[in-house]
Amino acid sequence: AFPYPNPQQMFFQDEEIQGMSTNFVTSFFGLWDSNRRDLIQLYQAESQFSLSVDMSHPHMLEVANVDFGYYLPFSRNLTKISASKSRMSKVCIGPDQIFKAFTQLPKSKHELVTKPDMFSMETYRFPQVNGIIINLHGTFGETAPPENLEAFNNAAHRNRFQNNRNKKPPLSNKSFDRSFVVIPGPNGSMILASDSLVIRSPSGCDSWSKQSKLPT
Amino acid sequence: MNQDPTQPIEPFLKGLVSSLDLNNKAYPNVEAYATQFARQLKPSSGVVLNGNPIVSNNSKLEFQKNWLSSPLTSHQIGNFDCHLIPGTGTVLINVTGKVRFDESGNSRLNESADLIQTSITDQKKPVWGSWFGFYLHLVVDETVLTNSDSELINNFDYRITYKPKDSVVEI
Repeated sequence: AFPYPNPQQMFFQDEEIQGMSTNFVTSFFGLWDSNRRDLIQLYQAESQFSLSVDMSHPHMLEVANVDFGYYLPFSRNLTKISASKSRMSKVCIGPDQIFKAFTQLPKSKHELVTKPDMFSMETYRFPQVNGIIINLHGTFGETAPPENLEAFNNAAHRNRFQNNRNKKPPLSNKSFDRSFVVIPGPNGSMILASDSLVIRSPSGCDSWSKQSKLPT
Repeated sequence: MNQDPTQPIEPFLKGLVSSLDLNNKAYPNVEAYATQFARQLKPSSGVVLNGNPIVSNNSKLEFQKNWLSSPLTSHQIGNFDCHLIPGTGTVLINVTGKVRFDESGNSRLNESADLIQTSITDQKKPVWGSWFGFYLHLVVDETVLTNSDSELINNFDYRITYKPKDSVVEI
């Protein structure tokens, strides 16, 4: 039998971080979907953000031709990047770089409150910084192209053989995994020390839904 | 900061994932085999599998016992990314990819629950099912950058993120 045939949708190491992490995730994605600028206060000079695209991740068969064009210029999939300069430059450090990247990702809608079954989460303590780690998995809808198309246009320009400079990728649902390191800041505030996002084709929620059974 | 310190992480991850996929052929006994699985775990690592924590004062041993009873696996890494967290001596790594399970009904020790056993000398080949998606999040000591074979994993969070509809092994 697979060690744990009954997947649990949520894991919280203890009650205190259960409250903290659910509040954090709800308000984070509320702002991520409505006004990303308001998130910038969570990031400090040493905060890191990067995203990576896993195009080979298994996904629902009814979904075809998911376009990752808006994400690929930022993708830090380290199995695919060997030059150390670009491995290092694809991590955004500090609020300015991070916010600039945020404006270049499609606008989104995460139905965390209305459809919580679409998400699963694990949280645990990270004692080295007196913080917590939150790993969230789920699916979001893309609602509009990015505000800022600089990275997309640069990438399309370089790729001159595809002649896709003016062709915008279609919007679609995407699945994601996002990992946060949240540490306590001054006056009860929170600081995001590390934020990493994986983007992949839609995979549904069968692997953690209540009726789901994994290999035995 | 001109040197990219993250180069050693990929071989570390490949080694870790392939240790989960080992078959028992090369090992003289069960113990020698089972202690290979994720041998870079610390005895006190936080281990969570599909949202289920391992609650034990030796989570490494408990994980290895559990993993031994699972069907044979085959993992492929599709993507990973990592952050060195300043001042903590740790690296956070997230890995995604695909995994398939042996659907032949045999355990990793080549045993099945069938009452009529085929001859033990028969080499049983795995019958691979469809690909599942997995996500693995690790908190590892910075020593991974110099010596990736010691016990250095503080947290191991493994989540199946996609389950194919035609999986035979769901019981």
